[in-house]
Amino acid sequence: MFQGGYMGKLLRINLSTRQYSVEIIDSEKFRLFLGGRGLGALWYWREVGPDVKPLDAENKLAFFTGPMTGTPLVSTTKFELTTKGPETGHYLCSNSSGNFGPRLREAGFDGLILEGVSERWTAVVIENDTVRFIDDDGPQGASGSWQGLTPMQARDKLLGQLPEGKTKWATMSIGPAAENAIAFSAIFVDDGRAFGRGGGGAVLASKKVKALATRGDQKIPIADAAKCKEIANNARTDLKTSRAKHRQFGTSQLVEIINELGCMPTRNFQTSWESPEQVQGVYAQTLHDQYYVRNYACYRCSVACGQMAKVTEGEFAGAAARPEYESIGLLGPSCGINDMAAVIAANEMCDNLGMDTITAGNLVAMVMELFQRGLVSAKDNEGLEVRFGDGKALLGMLKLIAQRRGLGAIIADGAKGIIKARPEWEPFILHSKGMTFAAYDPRGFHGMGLAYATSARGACHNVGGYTVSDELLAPKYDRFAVEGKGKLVKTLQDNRAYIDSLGLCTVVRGAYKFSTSPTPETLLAITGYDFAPHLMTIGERISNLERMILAREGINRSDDGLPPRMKEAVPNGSAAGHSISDQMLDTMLDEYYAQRGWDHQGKPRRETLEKLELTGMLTPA
Amino acid sequence: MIAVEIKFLGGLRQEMGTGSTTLSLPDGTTVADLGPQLRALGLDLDSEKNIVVLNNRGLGQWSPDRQLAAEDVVIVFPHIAGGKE
Repeated sequence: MFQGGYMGKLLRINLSTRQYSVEIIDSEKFRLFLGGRGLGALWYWREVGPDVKPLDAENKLAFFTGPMTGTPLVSTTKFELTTKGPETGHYLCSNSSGNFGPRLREAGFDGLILEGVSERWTAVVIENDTVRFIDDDGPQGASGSWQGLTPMQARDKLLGQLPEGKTKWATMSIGPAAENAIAFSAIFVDDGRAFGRGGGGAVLASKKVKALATRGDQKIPIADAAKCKEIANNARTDLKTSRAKHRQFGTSQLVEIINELGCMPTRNFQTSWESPEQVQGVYAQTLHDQYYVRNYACYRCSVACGQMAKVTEGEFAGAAARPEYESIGLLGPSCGINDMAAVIAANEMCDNLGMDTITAGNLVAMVMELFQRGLVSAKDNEGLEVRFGDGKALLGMLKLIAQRRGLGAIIADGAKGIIKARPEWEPFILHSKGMTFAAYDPRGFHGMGLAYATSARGACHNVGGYTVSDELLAPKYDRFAVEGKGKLVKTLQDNRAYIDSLGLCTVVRGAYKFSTSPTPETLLAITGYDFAPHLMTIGERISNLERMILAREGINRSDDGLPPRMKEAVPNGSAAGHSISDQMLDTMLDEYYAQRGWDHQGKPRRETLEKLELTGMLTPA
Repeated sequence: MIAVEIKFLGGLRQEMGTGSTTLSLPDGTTVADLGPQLRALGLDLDSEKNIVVLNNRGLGQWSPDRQLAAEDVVIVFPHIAGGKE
């Protein structure tokens, strides 16, 4: 069926027994689920039961690439993590750039599954079809100790023990936060990309795996190499103009835009706007003029949207990071901080500790609100006062979280853990299903509320859908109304589900026409199969499979919710006076479920599963 | 004549060389007339490369016949999406 695009194999490593096996992936699975997120969801359905807890030995991690991963096209670095995540306690999908996905394919595999628990802390090295382990042998040993290292220290240490060669190694690694089972610890890929959200780092740490490296000599098969080269050249030309500003300023441009539109989280979403005189301290222009060092590119990406930034003077001198919009919004204005130097320092600290900047920012902002309201004091927090606007306190709190000290001992378990320990703090936590909000206040774009409420991994602008552009561009929508948002969010989610299964970065998808009406040439050139007419159906199939997983784990309509703050009217800015009531959310959910072919409780109807060829797939393997 | 302020946000601020400009428009200028005025400033509005917002709503979400007023606020910014995964 396929003349290219797939290696056709999966590597399974049992960390308990140190045995590994190679499994064939049949082409029917590629036809139905494409790759990446789709294959990850199918694998999860079959191998991770509803009773398994995130840090149990029975939980597993799967990494799946897509048919585009590592091909000669531009920005084809993406691969997908699937596991049960500690932040929500449910299904987690997350994607990352970096070289690991392409190198895994060159080693011969479309996917990698890690299961069991290593007896000792270890690093896993995959080279072609061989697997070996570099165990922690203590501080005096030849390999040294893996524990306590930052993700980059672990990467450097691992690379230092590997032979050089024509092909460079790609790595994944975790930091101290993951070792301390922080619910929102990340897995870092190479020197700066990450599976950021949901706590995949803690799951990898629960297996006692500190790092992985891979490389190989195999060629990724391409059905029509000449056509592929032509498409790559056209994409480079397109991206040179269409993504020029993305290259120059990255996603940080959104700070000014989202603030002006009145949905910037400020002071833990108590407000949704900050005066430009204040917030310009964290504008893209400020980042570019005062802190920019150079651009950072993922594998074969001509956009290079990452912005390397360094603080050269002042109290945060020496700090360096690549701040993206979400990190700036949540470590910055949501913490009342409009000083880019402090944001870069906080971003760097999250990177070194190995934590998700989005949830870390959200939860420090929550602590700041608790201090503001007098609900906690410094004596609850090892003497540290954490007030809005205090960059030093932000850094101090991040450390306390990663070390589970002071209030950090509670915060470290994420939204669900906090609510269990201190239910009275729930009104101050912005989350859905346990995952904290991205940096868009849904009261300013009601579609974002539905996106957060129905996202398969909890409040998320990627998996859930980024509605902001459509809510401004399409004449039929009103950003402050609920009508039509069900159809919009379903369409965005299905579109994103197939993008996440391709192995392609969403930033460049326009150059390959991967819209809701995709054109055939790219996947035809790679695989020899005309996926285009089926891509949105594949996205819908993945969305429904994910919902079946969640339903099996006990999720229903009552979980598709928004936090109480969304019912309060926004006090300032462009969205002033707007809120999302329970009734408004109910109306959006009704429309969304109807569009999806789900019942009133949000469970896919049998006829929906049949239409999507899912019924046979959902029986045990 | 009415004076309508046009704000340029994000990367457009640098591309336009300013954060804002004021258009002097004849009384009776409508939403439909605004597009050509913005294009005359050098803005690309044809490929959804940039988004135009009038008083908090997309320009295309207003009636083309609606007349502009002096207190109207127009913002233009690059069409970007993104963040971290």
